[in-house]
Amino acid sequence: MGVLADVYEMLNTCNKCGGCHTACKTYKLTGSEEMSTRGRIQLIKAVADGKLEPNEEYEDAIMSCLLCGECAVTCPNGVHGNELVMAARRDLKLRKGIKPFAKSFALKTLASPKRLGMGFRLFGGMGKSVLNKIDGLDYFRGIDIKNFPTAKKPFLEQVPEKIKVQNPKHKVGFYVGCFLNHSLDQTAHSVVKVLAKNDCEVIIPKDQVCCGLPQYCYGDYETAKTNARKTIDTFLDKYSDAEVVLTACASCGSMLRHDYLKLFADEPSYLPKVKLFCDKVVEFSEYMAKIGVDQSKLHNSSPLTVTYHDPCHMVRGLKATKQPRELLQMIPRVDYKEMFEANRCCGAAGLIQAFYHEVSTDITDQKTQNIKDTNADLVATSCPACMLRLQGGINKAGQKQKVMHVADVMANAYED
Amino acid sequence: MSDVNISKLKGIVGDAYVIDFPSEMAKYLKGQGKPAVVVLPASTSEVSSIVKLANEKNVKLGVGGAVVDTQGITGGIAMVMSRMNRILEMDHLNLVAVVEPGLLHKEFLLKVGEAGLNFPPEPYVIETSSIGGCFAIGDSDSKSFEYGPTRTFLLGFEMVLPTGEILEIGNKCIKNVSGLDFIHFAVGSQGTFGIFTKLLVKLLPVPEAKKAVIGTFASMHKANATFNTLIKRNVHPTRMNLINASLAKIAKPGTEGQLVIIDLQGFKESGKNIVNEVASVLTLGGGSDVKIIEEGAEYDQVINGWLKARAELNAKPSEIVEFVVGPMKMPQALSQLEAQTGELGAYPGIIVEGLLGYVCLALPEGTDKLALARKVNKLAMSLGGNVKGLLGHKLKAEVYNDAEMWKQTTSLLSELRQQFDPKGILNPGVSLEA
Amino acid sequence: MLSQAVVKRLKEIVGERNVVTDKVGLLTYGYDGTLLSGEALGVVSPTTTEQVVEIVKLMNEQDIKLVPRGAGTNESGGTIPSAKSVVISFTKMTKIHEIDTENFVAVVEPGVINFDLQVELAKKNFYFPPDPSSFKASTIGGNLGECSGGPKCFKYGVTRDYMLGLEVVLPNGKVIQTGGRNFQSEPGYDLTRIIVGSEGILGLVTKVFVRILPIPRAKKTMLALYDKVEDASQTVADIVAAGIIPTTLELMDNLLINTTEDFTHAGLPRDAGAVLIIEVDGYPEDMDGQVKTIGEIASKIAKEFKVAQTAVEVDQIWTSRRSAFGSVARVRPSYGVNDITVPRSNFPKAIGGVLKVAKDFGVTIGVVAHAGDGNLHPLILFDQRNKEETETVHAAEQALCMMALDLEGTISGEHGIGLVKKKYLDKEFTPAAMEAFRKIKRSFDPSNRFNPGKIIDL
Ligand SMILES: Cc1cc2nc3c(=O)[nH]c(=O)nc-3n(C[C@H](O)[C@H](O)[C@H](O)COP(=O)(O)OP(=O)(O)OC[C@H]3O[C@@H](n4cnc5c(N)ncnc54)[C@H](O)[C@@H]3O)c2cc1C
Ligand SMILES: Cc1cc2nc3c(=O)[nH]c(=O)nc-3n(C[C@H](O)[C@H](O)[C@H](O)COP(=O)(O)OP(=O)(O)OC[C@H]3O[C@@H](n4cnc5c(N)ncnc54)[C@H](O)[C@@H]3O)c2cc1C
Ligand code: SF4
Ligand code: SF4
Repeated sequence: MGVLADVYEMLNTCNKCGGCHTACKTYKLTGSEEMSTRGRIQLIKAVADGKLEPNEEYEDAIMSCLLCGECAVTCPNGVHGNELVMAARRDLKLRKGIKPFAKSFALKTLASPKRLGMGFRLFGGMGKSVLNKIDGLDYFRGIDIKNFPTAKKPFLEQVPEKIKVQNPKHKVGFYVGCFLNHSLDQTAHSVVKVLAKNDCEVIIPKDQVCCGLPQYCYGDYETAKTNARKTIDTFLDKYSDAEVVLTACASCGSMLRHDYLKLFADEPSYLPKVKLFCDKVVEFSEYMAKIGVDQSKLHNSSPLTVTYHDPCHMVRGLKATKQPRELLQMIPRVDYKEMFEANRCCGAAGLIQAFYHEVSTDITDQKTQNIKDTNADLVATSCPACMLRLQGGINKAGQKQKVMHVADVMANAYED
Repeated sequence: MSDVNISKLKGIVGDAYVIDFPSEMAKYLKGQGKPAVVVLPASTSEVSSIVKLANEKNVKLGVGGAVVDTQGITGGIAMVMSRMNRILEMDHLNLVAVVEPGLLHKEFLLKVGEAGLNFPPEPYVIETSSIGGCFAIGDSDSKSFEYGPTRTFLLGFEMVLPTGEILEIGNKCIKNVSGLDFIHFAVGSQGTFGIFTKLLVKLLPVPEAKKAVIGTFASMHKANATFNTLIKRNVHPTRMNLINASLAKIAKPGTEGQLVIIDLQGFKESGKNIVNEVASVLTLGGGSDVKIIEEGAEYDQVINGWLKARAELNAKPSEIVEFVVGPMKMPQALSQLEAQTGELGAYPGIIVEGLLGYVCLALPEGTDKLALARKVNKLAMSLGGNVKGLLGHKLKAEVYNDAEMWKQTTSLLSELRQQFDPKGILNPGVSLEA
Repeated sequence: MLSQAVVKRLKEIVGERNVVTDKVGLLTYGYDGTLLSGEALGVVSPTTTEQVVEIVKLMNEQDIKLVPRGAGTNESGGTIPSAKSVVISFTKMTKIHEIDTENFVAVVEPGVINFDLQVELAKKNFYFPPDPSSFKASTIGGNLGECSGGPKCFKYGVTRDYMLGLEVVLPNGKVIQTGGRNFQSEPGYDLTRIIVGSEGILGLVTKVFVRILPIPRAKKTMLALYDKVEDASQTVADIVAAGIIPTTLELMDNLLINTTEDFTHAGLPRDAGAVLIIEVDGYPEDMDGQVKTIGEIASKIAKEFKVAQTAVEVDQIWTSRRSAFGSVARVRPSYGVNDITVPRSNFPKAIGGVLKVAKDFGVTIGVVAHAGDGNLHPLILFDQRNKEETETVHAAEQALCMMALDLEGTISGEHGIGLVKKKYLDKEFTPAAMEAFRKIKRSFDPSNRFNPGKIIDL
């Protein structure tokens, strides 16, 4: 019971007050106690106590967690439901391997760059060609298949390893991440453009791999570690001249900066290097806010109402909420409107959208409504998974808003 | 012919307090029934002994403060509580009083006022209503929007059950959810669960200021429209009442037209502005003789006038129809009502308690009450309300065409009554069937 | 185990997804806010009154007990399944049918979460006064089941005072309506009132008409800090004696100040012996006078008195107060919470009594209190895994109850009796009163179908 024993004190600290009910979207939308933080914790505790043998229903309860972390900030006792779920997933993995479909469909694919490209292409391509022909299948489990973007060529194959600028003030290592590489390559270009416009030389290692978050989330620490080690070594050894490791994906960012430390907690010899790496990790908006953006170079001809969605990993992982809002408001003629519950999960939550689509679809519908209520033309955010999820939800609801990365919005404001 | 054992009664309360000469009994009685005897107990144990005695021979027993309603107790006992009229405790720290039920409501108000405290419920019939009756009826009144209905003010009691057993419940805590809430359930039970012998009553600090605004109006509709204006302006006074022209003369002799009474209690500083706001709303709404009243004696006069008009209707429950609708629905209610009753001002009596959306109609002689109530209920239901009370429930069930629901309700009520009073001894005149 | 036939019928009534019979489901519906737990035969989550009726009929036919449940945050063991029972969960009846601000009424289903209703009302500048600290999780059905209180009771009363009418499914499967949608008492037996606070033993509530009020135009929140808890209780008495009715008079002792600070960082001084949160509301013109009087009274004893200046400050203060129960697991993993209540004048004595119990039994007790109501929440902190300690805690809890009764108070001011306090009930009530409860229960539920074993045994 190793993994659960490690978190037992925290399990036991939950006094069932129900304070987290309001935080947990999967509960709010289903009204089912086993889909609540408190329910999950009590089930994990029952497993730890040997009162419950993990079964299919248990796996559902554990796997349907969005890992959004809302519960952790809501619990007055400091119980971190998301961490307990992570431990439970790890425990499940150690007991019997991961849920078969999760394993084959996603995790393996993500772990290997080649297969991942195939996966994205398959998914997108199939969506357009095959699934399109089936009526009503535009939305597979709430995912907007029809409009699921696929990069013609991975971003990493489109750009040189170094992007030089005239008067380089900074040297930035760009950790692209799977989504920007295979799906939203346009956003990756935006990142590079904004960096370059702000006198940053950009280094883009070609042999970077998945950060390991998906595997980590589903308890496959081994694969996660392999990927993490590769990432760390690549940036620290081969590209040590990069002052920072920048990512435009909040999820990757949170993994690179926080979870790597946890992942290697049991390897004291390697840990110092991990720490060094983690300290270098920075998210796009954080970085731009830090080095300062020259507002006079930003142009925008028509008025634009913009709202911002806080990705879970941005607000609760990296704890960055001010910076993206500040950047957006720097752009001329932008009317910034805050939406209701901007910091609540959009329903993407990694693989949840595929496996527990009823729940995640409801969550997205709420989000979409909140967006609508702002009357914004444009929704900015900081995580590609959220971008896809939100755009899908908006399209499905027949709304008009465009979803963009903060980097995209900024890139548009620079004249070419 | 009666099974009442007069000598045993005399043994319990003393000769002087058992009255069986019809001529002497009359002042303690109302209604058509002919009880065999009036008895005036002085203590809980006397009440208990009397009830036990009644139990032995299955004698019916009616209770009242000063006057007993004789319905259903022909040949039985009329128990008058007026000798049990002491205030046993006035607890300033906890804002509670312990009082005996036979004390007249108006006397209690006086004593509470002298103590610098406040007991909001209004007496039903100023001259006769007792404090025991206040909770036995347990109604709301025109001040309830601010203070809550009568039940809010009962924290506990001592009661003699229909078996003669004594039940004590409650404490001085203003928050108490222990056990089932028999304390508040007994409020409104009209003596059918038992006879109150002691009441633990919640009080409030006396309001820091009291002011009133009055005005008269040519039509009920115009007068009532000012209430909607006030509610829309987010002004919620303590009372916001309207009396039609025929009844207004009782409230304030010499009044021509419909009388509006706005009462403001508390609101120490804000009250200065609110009275002006209210006065202008009344004036702009077509009121004449609009007057702000700040002087104490004059204020009391206005309020007493109101209570008098109220009592006029309360005293004859069989000749009134009461209904409620949402406060803002009142204009529609009144115009639709007019179609039934003719000019509202000329009707024998109409009272509107604006904050509660409540209307009480005193019926002209010879009115078919049930027929009118049916029509009024339809009207009220179309505006989200209903005729008040059990009658209302019955009529609602009629409209829903849900005889089953009405049957369920009444059978539950009689089951409850049966559980407490299996022999049906106490206040048999009280009907749970509407 | 429920027979396949019953499961099938239940699924026909409420749909496949709303019937739970697997171990995982049963475990998660087996606990509430207390340390108790139990296991039902099944959990069924209806979405309409008609479904509730069908369920009740089926359970009557099969002679299976029903345990109603809202969010399961009660502190009385009120939703712990009894043997051979099915839990009927109202968390999927979450419709707000109507909000009618003009007429001060909202019509909701029992599973609506108090907070969700408040959010909808706030959009119209209205609110629903009962707001137990658990309001973000607890349901209207649960609030009325326990007749919950909250921080505003001193001025605004408890849940009971805001229930206008109910739709109730009786144990015989028949539906009745009590009260109405208007704020008028119903002369005659007030069925609404007896259902409120009945902890699900008399009827299943399927629709609730609640009274709503406009948000007061002005509000002032104050903090008074004291060296000792006893000092704070004196201010409470003095404020009441001055004839002021604050909406709130909440007290937290040093232990709670610290655990909540760990969570909220509201800036309460960690060395203060006690803090009193005082709030008044009403018309703006009346605020200054009241704040001034309260300030004068408090400053006689308090070491510091301040008025919150910003909405953020007020928010933080309330987050602290609301998280008080929750936060104590930071000290010890388990807590036993009590809700003894005494007449206000005995409040200082009750505080003394709590300190004495802590000393006598050698247990750690933190105190939060709705001081204006004389309602204390001594939180006994311990570790449930330690059997011996747990025994001591139970003994201390009993001592607290007896102390409250000695001070002419009650064993429950707002949490209800359920299973937890059932054993002390006859210490508070005479046999005649206990029998009155039974009479009421028998009238509604002669076969003891609904939530058997809670409050009283038949
Ligand atoms: C909803 C309602 C229904 C009414 N029904 C009737 C009716 O059917 N017949 C009628 O004549 N009037 C009825 N009235 C009028 C009412 O009785 C009187 O208007 C009002 O109560 C004052 O009468 P009273 O002076 O006799 O009061 P009280 O003598 O104070 O008595 C009022 C009521 O309380 C009961 N009561 C008094 N003292 C005690 C006690 N110590 N313990 C227990 N019960 C006690 C009485 O039996 C009576 O029912 C009703 C009023 C209302 C509001
Ligand atoms: C951290 C915390 C703080 C709290 N603060 C307060 C506080 O300040 N004040 C306070 O009073 N309480 C407080 N409580 C106690 C608890 O939250 C309240 O009693 C709450 O009202 C329970 O609501 P629930 O939805 O969780 O109901 P549940 O616990 O699910 O049920 C409560 C009772 O109601 C019955 N019930 C539920 N729904 C129905 C229905 N539809 N029909 C009939 N019966 C039904 C149940 O059978 C049970 O007996 C607190 C609890 C916690 C954990
Ligand atoms: S996780 Fe925290 S908030 Fe949720 S029930 Fe447990 S203690 Fe309460
Ligand atoms: S991480 Fe999110 S989804 Fe998971 S239990 Fe916590 S609040 Fe619920």
